[in-house]
Amino acid sequence: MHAHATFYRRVEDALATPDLPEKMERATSRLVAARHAAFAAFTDGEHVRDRARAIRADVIANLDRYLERFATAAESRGGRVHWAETGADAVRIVQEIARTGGVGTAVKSKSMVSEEIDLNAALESAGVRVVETDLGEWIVQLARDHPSHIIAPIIHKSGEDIARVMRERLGASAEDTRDPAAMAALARRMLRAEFLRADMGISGSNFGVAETGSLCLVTNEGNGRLTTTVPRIHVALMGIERIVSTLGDLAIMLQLLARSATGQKLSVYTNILTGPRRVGEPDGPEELHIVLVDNRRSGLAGTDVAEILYCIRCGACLNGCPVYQAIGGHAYGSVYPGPVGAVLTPALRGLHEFGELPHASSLCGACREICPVRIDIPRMLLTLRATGVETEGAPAWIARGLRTYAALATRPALFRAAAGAARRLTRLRARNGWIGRLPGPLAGWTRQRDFPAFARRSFQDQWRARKRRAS
Amino acid sequence: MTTARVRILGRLARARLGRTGPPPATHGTERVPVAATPERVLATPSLREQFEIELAALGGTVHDAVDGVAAARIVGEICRARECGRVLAWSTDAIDVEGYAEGFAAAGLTIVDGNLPEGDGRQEALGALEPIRVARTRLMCCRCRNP
Repeated sequence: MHAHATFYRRVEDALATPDLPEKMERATSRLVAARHAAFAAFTDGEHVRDRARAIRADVIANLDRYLERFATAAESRGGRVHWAETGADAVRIVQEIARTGGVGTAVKSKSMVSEEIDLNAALESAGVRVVETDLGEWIVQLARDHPSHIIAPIIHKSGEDIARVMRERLGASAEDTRDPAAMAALARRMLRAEFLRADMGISGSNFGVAETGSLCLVTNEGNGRLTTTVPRIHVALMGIERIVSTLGDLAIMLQLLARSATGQKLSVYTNILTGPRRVGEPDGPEELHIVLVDNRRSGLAGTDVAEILYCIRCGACLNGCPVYQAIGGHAYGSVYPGPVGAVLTPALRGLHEFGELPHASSLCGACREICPVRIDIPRMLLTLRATGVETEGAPAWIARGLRTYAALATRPALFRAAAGAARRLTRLRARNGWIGRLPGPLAGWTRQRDFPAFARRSFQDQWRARKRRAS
Repeated sequence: MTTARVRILGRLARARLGRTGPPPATHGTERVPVAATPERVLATPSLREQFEIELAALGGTVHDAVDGVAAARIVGEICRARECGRVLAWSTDAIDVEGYAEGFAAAGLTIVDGNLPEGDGRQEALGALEPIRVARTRLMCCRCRNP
């Protein structure tokens, strides 16, 4: 099972990375605390979450109708809607728009779909220079790294890590990198020139509004507004599931998105874009292209994992997940890390390649609790695990282990004898009650933590003794 | 040649209507009907899907019927769901589908001709039509696109 070995190796690498668990724990704890504070002060929050879930359920159940309405409305306002069945189709569409428009430089606002389809590399190979403008994504691009969080792409980097990237890649001075404010000022100076130079702006879209054909884009840095309005061509990439029916429904979703993501009541910039620049308007793009990306999402509709399409990409489930907190985003090997990625990635890209991800969970349910639209991620993880075993089979040692356990557990005398033997063996190997290294396939457990020796007496033995004493 | 738009919306529409959609098409290959089941031979996929999508967008629902008896059974189920025993039918003569009329009779449905008389009997005929909640117009054969 090569995929398992690769995943476990990535996890081991993450756990062995100096300071990574501490950085992750610090950053995610801060985000979770901010989220809890935001909802504690949100009087009607639980009711709004219920409404938001109903809105997402309705949209996904009737997605074909809403998409038609969205496309018709967007086109009636001068936008051009492109339908991309696959990631490769989406890339070709954007390349063609760039070629036709004579684009030399494109600025890009944050877009998970663009990561999903590996757009930057494809555009660069077509001769288009691409500049990320979200601060985190820009650092990722400079460092030739990958994002490790849906909304906080450099959550795995410290301030000093970022300063080092700026010094090494940009030749930034000590003065430029003395503190976060100085580094942000440097980024602003450099990126402002790129906005003015760019022929094309590429953005994602947090939501598409079916009744008006509008795109809603939220950012905290203002780069989204510049990306979508300064260059003469704006290309918006949107997964087909990111639709809401009306502006009223959008207002519901916006009440939850920022609170869940960062603990803000509202993101600093909320842009609602409807069509390109109209006659008489002083600014805005001359062309607006909306690329609706399917990339296997439509195949999930009506299945047991369709609920994952409710996701609004707030990243809250990542922050609340004890597994993500320990291993970070890169270990997942996918642009969508954390609990949502553990469902979405294998659902979209197949269990053969990503069958290990549904197992990257303790099934504690924290993701379901924190999700603003109450997506039942643990249920879908179990579904995918079961499907994976049916289609790919369980690793041989697990299958053998379970068969052995079943044989013991159904024979009480044998079970007692085996438990007694295990008790004696573990206590023999233990130092101060803990075993530092287990043998054979069990060694994986003790690679990162100790294993407790079994209790001197089993619960049943203690219970019998207690009853004897009582009688 | 079907467009990506039609294929994507077709998959979503099928999921909405409770049918199992095909696996996502591999890039660069057209989806090919897998087997000649009655449902599959009903239509050329592109036009059939496009029609369903357009109708669904207007609030309609497409039912697949392999023959006249199946069509009558579907109409019968719609009638039963609405507790309706009489069906107002337009252009009965034009619907030349084998087994259709027999199917209605077997379902216990009465077909009421929608051709109303002129003059004295018109008001009375209109009054008789008023309580009817199901109306049937033409059926379309998806293979030849003839009624």
